[in-house]
Amino acid sequence: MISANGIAPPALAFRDLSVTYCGNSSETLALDSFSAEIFPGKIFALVGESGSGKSSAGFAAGGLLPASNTRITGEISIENSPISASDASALQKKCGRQIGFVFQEPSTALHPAIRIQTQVAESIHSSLSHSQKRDRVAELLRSVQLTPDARLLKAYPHHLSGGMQQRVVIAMAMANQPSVLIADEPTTALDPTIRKEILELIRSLAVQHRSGVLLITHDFGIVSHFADEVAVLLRGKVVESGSTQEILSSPSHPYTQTLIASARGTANISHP
Amino acid sequence: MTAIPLLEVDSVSVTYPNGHRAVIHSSFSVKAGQRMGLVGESGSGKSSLARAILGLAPVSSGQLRIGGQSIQQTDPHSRKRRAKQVQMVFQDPYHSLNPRRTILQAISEALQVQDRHFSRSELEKESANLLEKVHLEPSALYRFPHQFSGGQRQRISIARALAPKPKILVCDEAVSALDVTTQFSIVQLLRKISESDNIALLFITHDIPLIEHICEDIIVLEQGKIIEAGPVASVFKNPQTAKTRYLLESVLRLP
Ligand SMILES: Nc1ncnc2c1ncn2[C@@H]1O[C@H](COP(=O)(O)OP(=O)(O)OP(=O)(O)O)[C@@H](O)[C@H]1O
Ligand SMILES: Nc1ncnc2c1ncn2[C@@H]1O[C@H](COP(=O)(O)OP(=O)(O)OP(=O)(O)O)[C@@H](O)[C@H]1O
Ligand SMILES: [Mg+2]
Ligand SMILES: [Mg+2]
Repeated sequence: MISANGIAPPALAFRDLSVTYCGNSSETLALDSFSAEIFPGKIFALVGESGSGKSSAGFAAGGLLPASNTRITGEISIENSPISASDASALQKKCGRQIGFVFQEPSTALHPAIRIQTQVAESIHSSLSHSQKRDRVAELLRSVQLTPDARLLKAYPHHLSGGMQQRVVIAMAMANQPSVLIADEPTTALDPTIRKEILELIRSLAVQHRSGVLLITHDFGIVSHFADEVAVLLRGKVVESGSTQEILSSPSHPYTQTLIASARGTANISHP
Repeated sequence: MTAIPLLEVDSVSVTYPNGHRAVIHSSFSVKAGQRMGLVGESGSGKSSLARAILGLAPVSSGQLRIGGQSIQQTDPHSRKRRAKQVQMVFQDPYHSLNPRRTILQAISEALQVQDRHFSRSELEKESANLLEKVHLEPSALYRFPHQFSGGQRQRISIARALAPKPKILVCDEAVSALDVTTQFSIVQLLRKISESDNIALLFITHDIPLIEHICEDIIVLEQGKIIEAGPVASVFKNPQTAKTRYLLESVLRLP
């Protein structure tokens, strides 16, 4: 789908998304008019402090924000079809087909009472024969550096280490080569070696399948190596955004400067 | 100099009911106030070893001792005594917090492990103090775990683990989801508490630079076995095994 000016439309776009969580006594404005465009083939990093609203943006795109006591305004556009951000069921329908999700806490994405083999097989949408499916499951698990032996295939999620669970979730999110991948801190539980390999895998999904990737991370080292674009969130507001190159070479916001300095290992960080 | 180390892990193996051996004949000891890093690939057995120290993973052979006393009994009294001595921040904060309890209830319960009586207002005050240390507002006390961000849940778990004033704090990827500024201040906090109250830390992380900030010593685990141990500076400068070198080298730094 190429538009008149020759630029493909974004795989995923947020337009003026605001999310407010309403408690008994207080309200939290988690996102304040958040806008971003994630293009096919690109990795868009969303960075920011703990509690700045990153996961809320990811959840909103999937129609996964809590239904009660949440006020949502704005629009989400998936592959050029705009949907009201408050229309959770429309978003969920679209999301199931076109968005792969890696949640920040992997155990929340796995069914505790279903064996790994079955869960991964169920995440594959295409109709395959029994043996083709088994091969595909093995292939997916190998792609995230897991050995598809009997122990792993027959395991329940709680039999796996944190990083292994995280990788199973990544394998499932990639199973259908989604046109959009939302990966929320996908490598926090992984050692540096595997971390790099997983990020390479995500990059190859973007490049080979023209998927748009929203990569939520707090690590500017990862951003510098893997992201094409980056937006910095601070208390629900984007304070800075642009190409990774630009932001790295001339960060304008003090918070971005702190993030970058700390990733270089040059900063003596103190709490702002 | 104290003769007896605070924690002794003596040739411990962890074998799960399905027969998998996650930790194999591992030995090390931790002195009071000592800060020890524990690193290794995903699946190498770090969390299993940590859970064994808490009595939460099946120890199939070897001995675990705190202050010279075996800690393998699982009766309620022994468990409570152990809770006063060892606390853990779990890798998955979502699962380690009871979804039906407010943060105040969760922290209060941990405070009451101590042998003293707390009035309701003392519980609120102490809990709010602990939250403040991890940069959370007192209003967080009356909310439920699912109403927080992932990093906020990690910080709540840290506050709760500090509540019983343990002698040993086991942190399993306790700050992995935090942005650098928050992470750094939490790490400073842990270090400060460790120094002032002589609390020992067993700090599990994939974040190698973080180890340099907080730990004096380091252990490297591979497939359930300790392959390297020693002071951080010397292990980092002169790693003895290819695996350790590999772990140290693959850190993504900014160009
Ligand atoms: N309850 C269990 N039953 C069976 N096997 C288990 C269980 N818990 C963990 N294991 C296995 O033990 C091994 C070590 O797991 P552990 O969680 O200790 O690793 P880890 O070093 O903490 O890894 P990560 O960095 O990914 O968290 C893994 O192969 C895992 O599959
Ligand atoms: N269900 C909820 N009810 C009330 N407040 C919520 C809820 N979910 C999130 N929040 C609040 O909204 C804000 C943004 O949360 P969000 O999870 O989007 O942050 P984040 O940037 O992903 O943080 P982290 O890096 O710690 O994961 C936080 O202050 C959090 O406490
Ligand atoms: Mg989050
Ligand atoms: Mg672990």
